[in-house]
Amino acid sequence: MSERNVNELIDHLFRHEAGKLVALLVKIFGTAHLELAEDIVQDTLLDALNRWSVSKIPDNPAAWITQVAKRKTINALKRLQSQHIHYAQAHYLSGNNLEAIDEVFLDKEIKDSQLRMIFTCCHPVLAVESQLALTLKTLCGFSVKEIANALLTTESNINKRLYRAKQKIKTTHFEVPAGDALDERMNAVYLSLYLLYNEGYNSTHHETMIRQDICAEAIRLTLLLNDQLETPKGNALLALMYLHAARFDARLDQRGGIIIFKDQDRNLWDRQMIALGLQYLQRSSTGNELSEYHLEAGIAAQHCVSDSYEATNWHNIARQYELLYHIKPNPIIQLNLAIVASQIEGIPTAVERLEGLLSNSKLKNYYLLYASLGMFYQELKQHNKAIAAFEAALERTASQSEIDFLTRNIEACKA
Amino acid sequence: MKDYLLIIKGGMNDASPEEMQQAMHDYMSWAQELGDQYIDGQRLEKEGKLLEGDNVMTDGPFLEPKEIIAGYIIVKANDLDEAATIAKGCSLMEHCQIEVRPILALPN
Repeated sequence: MSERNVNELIDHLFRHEAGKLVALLVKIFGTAHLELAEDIVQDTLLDALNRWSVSKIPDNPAAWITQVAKRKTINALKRLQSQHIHYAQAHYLSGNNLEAIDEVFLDKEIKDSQLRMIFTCCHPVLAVESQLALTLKTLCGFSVKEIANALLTTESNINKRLYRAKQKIKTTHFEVPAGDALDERMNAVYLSLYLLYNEGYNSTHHETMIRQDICAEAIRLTLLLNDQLETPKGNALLALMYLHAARFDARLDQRGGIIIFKDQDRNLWDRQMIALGLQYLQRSSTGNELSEYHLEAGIAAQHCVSDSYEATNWHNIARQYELLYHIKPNPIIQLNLAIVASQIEGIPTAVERLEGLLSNSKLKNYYLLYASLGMFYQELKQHNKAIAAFEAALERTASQSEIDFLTRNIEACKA
Repeated sequence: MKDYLLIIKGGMNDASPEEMQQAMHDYMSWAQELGDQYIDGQRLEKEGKLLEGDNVMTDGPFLEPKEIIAGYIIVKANDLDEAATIAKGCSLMEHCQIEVRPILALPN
């Protein structure tokens, strides 16, 4: 039986090697042959699975996988050459010298390929939901089933998105844009990574593991990007991701019930992640750019450095939300501002502002608006109004944790 | 105790990288737990030839993917029921079919 314990295998090794290799192979074959790249990688991993299961895991599993993928790639190239099929990056292998392929399989090239793949997956020709699906598929090695599960949609929906995305990227260049185009494309990539992260952090998914996986993947890709193309915005985005991730475990009780921010046990916040987040926030302040990521990270940081809910610097937070609203005029920020106002100007002011938002068409189906109003009415002992608000919130959510939370509150109001 | 052949049919062709890693982890833990009752296990390559009477020879296997023999495991068990129970505990059951057959014991 196995001489090396299978538990020694790094978590997600297969998934991450798949992401690396698909990127690398697309660099060789071109974006038009993404499926060929995926097939070779799948075949390689199956080989690893079949061999390692019954013999032993090699000393350097990642290197083994790379070697096998390389051999399969050479065979595929020979096949393509004999069929005279054109593939994009043939210059790597000039003069039929397939040995030159060694140079493509170097670490430096792997990183570069992944960077190109990030820009390809977040290409503006793709709709945002296709960007997320393609990113999870190619860079994170998720299967269609896993993507559907993560993004709370059906497999056939994801298949359609991937099919369309693959058609569209066929004509794009597998490259990191240069010059003026770079800034704009970086912004698109940041937004896509930010949305991927939110998908994990804010989704109402019942499985915490899946949500944490998505957040971890978003952080991994942002680090990969920022390692090679560091910017203040990239640092701010990382700060924001770490500072939120630090609070992940404190948000739910052991049975998966929601714990509101005020009641969270701050001892459960991950100090190491907070430290990392603050470090990136510090680095993000070089230069004079103040992006939405800077502000969102700044707000999260303010919470993370407060010893208690009561000791929070609400004035600072309100100021950052106001700046944020200026950059990103979005009614959800107004909602947050109203909640912050409850700490500064008192609950009646907050209630007045929230009631003002009820007519906003963008918020009319937003469960949190009604849930927040309910909580404030409850504190003001206006129990009938509170019950009505919680019931309105109930109609606007499908998440079991949220339903339980609201039902608990309604019962408390009736008691 | 008698030897039993567990014939694995089908495979994990559509599995995600994460599922493959998990399957490998589970398989190795399962085999380790079986201890001395686990005798051997091998996987087969994809290619093959099918020979029939009249010298007919086809490249194969040309069966439905879920019927293709992907490998085998040999375990020791007291009877067919125990062997089947052992097979049921194998993580490959999630993705493959397993046929359990006693190997004919020859007198020493």
